[in-house]
Amino acid sequence: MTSPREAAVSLERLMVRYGHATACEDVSLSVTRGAVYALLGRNGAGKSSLVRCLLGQQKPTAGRAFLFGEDVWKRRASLMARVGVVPEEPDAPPAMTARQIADFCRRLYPSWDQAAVNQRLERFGVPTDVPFGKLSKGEKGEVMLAVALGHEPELLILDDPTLGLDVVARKALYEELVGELADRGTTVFITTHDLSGIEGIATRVGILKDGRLVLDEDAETLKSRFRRIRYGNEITETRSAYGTELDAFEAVKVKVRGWGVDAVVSNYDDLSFERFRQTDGVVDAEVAPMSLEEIFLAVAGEGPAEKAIGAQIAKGASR
Amino acid sequence: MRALHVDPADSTPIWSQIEEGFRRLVASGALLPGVVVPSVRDLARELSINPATVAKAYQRLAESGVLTIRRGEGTYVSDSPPAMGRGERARVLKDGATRYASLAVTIGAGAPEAAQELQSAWKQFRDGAKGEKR
Amino acid sequence: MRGFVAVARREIAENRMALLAALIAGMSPIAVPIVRNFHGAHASEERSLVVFFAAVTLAAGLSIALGFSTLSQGISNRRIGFFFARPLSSLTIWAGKLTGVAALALAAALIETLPSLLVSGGHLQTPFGWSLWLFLALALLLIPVSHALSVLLRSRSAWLALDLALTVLAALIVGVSTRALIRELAADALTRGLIGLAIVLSAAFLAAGFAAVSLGRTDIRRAHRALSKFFWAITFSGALLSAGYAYWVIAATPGDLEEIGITVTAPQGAWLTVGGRARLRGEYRPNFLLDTSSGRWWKAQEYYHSVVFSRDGRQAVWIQGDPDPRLGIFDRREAWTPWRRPLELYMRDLTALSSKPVATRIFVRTTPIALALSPDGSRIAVADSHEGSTLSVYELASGRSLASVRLPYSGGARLYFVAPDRVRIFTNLPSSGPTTPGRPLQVRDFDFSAGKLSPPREIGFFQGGVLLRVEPSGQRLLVRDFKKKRVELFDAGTAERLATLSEKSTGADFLSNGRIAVAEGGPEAPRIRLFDGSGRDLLPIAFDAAASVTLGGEIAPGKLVVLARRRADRWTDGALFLVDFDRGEKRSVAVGLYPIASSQAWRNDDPSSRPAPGSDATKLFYAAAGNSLVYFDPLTGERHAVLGPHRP
Repeated sequence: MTSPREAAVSLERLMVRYGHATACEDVSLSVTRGAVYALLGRNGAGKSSLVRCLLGQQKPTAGRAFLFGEDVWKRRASLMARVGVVPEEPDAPPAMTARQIADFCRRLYPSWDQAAVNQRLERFGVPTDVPFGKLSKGEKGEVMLAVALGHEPELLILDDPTLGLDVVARKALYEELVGELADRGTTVFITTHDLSGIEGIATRVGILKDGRLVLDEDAETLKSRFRRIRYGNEITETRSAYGTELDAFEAVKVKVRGWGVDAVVSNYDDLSFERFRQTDGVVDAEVAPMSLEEIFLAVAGEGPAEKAIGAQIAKGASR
Repeated sequence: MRALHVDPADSTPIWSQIEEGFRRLVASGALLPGVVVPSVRDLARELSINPATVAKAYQRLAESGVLTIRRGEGTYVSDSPPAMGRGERARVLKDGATRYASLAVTIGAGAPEAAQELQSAWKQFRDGAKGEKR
Repeated sequence: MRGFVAVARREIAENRMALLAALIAGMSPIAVPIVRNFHGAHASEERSLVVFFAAVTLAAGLSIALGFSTLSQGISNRRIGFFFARPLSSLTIWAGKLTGVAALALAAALIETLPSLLVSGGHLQTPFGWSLWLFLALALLLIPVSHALSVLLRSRSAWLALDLALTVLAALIVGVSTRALIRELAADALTRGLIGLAIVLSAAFLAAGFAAVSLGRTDIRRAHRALSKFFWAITFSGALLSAGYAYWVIAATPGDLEEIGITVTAPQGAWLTVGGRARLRGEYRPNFLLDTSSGRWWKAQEYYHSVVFSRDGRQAVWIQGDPDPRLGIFDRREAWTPWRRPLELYMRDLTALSSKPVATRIFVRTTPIALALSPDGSRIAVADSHEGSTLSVYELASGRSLASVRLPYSGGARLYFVAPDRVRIFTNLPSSGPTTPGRPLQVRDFDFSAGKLSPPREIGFFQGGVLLRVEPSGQRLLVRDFKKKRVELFDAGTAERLATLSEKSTGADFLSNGRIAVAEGGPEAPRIRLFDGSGRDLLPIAFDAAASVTLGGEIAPGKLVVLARRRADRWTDGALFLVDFDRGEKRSVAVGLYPIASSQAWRNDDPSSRPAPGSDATKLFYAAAGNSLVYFDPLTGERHAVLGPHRP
């Protein structure tokens, strides 16, 4: 863990509770400058509350949120000069046009690149004189992004920005994001459901499950240690679905199918797989890499049996 | 770059996929020496991947001489094969061979079969490159 | 600052339709008189009324509506996050939005007045001369109030119940102290307290509204909690402070009095009632029962009236409670007491150290009222001074009515016990001004054991005010006509005129041995003439250096204190003389003292209240230095301060 001083974003044992319902609990994470952190989680997992705490718009029940080393609840106004925000629900006043929104924001920041904002809006094809409330969901998001980037922020916080966007709009958004990364090395904190879209861009991944951070890991190492192993078990009919052959691995999710066993393991290495393949009773063993989406489903997907196994995940997170 | 495909789900790191992809293209003659390649920014945008990843691949390619970065002008395919010392070339070859060998072994292929495949792939690239040069 | 302006401008732009509505509303003051067919000055009067009303209503309506929606809606639906995600401080957001609303409401009100201004050529009248700006300012104060209420209601939190409970509690605290101040007629203190409270409430609404935005941000429940905490902390502080102030005001002591005024002295003994303006408490004028010899005092509870002391000075009786405003008002302020307690007679034993006021269960309807205590203090005669009133005699200790009779008179009355079972009544007495036209000053006797009211005996008609002096035995009567400056001696029983003593009198009184002293003014030097019991002239005492003389109290039989003024308009540099009638001498004894006995005589000529010769009341003086009360015995030279600043 990098110290709060170096990190662009830092959460320390964050807890948010509304009455008796806990939105998130004991969440600690750190995002270094220049990183792209993707926070994944099912609906209701606590992402929005977490983001609100990150933006200094919600006071955590316990724990603290830091941006650039400063407590964001206390120093929100000054910190927001360095942060661009694209919220989940586009919240610009419905009567304002894109032009007016940009004009409003322009006055608030010492550095504002109106030309770049105009270019972005043009690239997105968003009409600048239509009231915000009358724009489509995609157009609203594009306006929010264009405006969020207008003051060349050091940190970009996006809460499910692709929700409701079609393929074209999504591509445009990622292009914009990547362009920003290339031009300025902006730090990005993004919560999303579009796992395939963010997969190539994220440098670090966090998975929030039932309010807890069950995974917080470098994207590359995460992909390197998860594999899907398929094999046949010769004694399937007479014995239980799978036995001790998978013991070398930490199996996250194991399903028994008609043709054999389908197992997701979280600590793969080639040597162990070789040994596994030589094990008695194991036939036709195949190993396949997993997409971020598949990993997410395995870690955060529900089901009582999987729940129990899913609790084993956080090993290997320090890689 | 139409020919460059990156699968984020693949087990090999993306930067490695990009690197390999470039090597393949250069070796097959699809990318001729002196041709300008997309900037880090443009390639990243096109592929929707982190520019740092592209930058890392470009860095490795530049270090091994496949690409040449000219400041202010862009990135180009190098004019001639990289100038490498004998020892370095041997090491690079050995690296690649080890990777190929372990791949073959893990899918259960025998040495003759592997050698045969290697031969035909080599021919393919050679012929392709020759064809382009003509 | 730029952020503040940007937020405010946005708020105005968001609701700019209100300005158009204001312009349209501005047409109504022009349309209304036309519709109602008024012309000329009448029309312009109507117009000014409509304009004023419409402008204030518009400002108030916008303040309430926009104040309700502007911030709290954004908090509860989280859209305010748009502003929080920008480098705008909570203060900028809150102040910017509320200022935008205020500017809009104000602009709308002023736009509304424009059409009428144009029609009336640039001059706008306001009804009753009220200030339009003041009312607009008050309307704008509704903005933070509406904002606070909207947070309370939108949060749908159970805390609202707590807020309601605290509202009741705060209202109780304020209500109790307000009632206490009203009861005591401490109008200035009440006004100050209420203004202070209004300021505290405004500050509370503003601070709490800001806290809601600053600490709640996008969490409406947290906003509610923050609002309540700040609001009640400030409001209760204010309420308790104002209650404390009210308590402090009411806890005045005689030592706090400036401009002391003695209303009644006991005929014997050292007790008197003293009132005056209490220092630093505005126009609050408490009344006290004070023992000038020991310094013991009791404060009058609420407003009390008509104090009488028993002849031996051991008992005080008074009326306590709120007069029925329907029956005529003694003082305009009395009509305003909202919790009316009936007027009841109370009494107190002055000799006991820890005595308490005792309710006698004798009720009267209104003040002013004539009271008289029997010489032994066991009975009291009560008559109110209105047409067709009833005279009743009660036994004080039990409250039992002994007798009562209808008095066919109008104007003032004075009662006097001439015997334990006989009350002498002087009726048609003016306190100032002439006797009731067509009715002469009369005397009757009421023998209440027999229940018989004697027929009236006429004393005479008087054009100006009259002063009555009844001799202690009750048998003879001095009547002084202010206007004619005439003093006449009458037989109190037969109403027969015994003698005319002077035609240029400025004062007259009986002395203890039946003789009569009359002060005279006029173009010559003032003097005091002594008469015997039948009106024969005995001797004059002249005061050559004085402008006028005033009779004081008899500090020993035959020895009278007299104030000789150098200038007619003030007494502070006047000389106090001791006149010895037996020897026919006078000597100067002090300067700058005013005999209390003289002011008594002038203000409250209740026959039974006259101080007995040699009593403490005759030795009490107002001192010019520092407006204080001083005890001075000219015979022994003993002198000490009783009340007021003790300056050397």
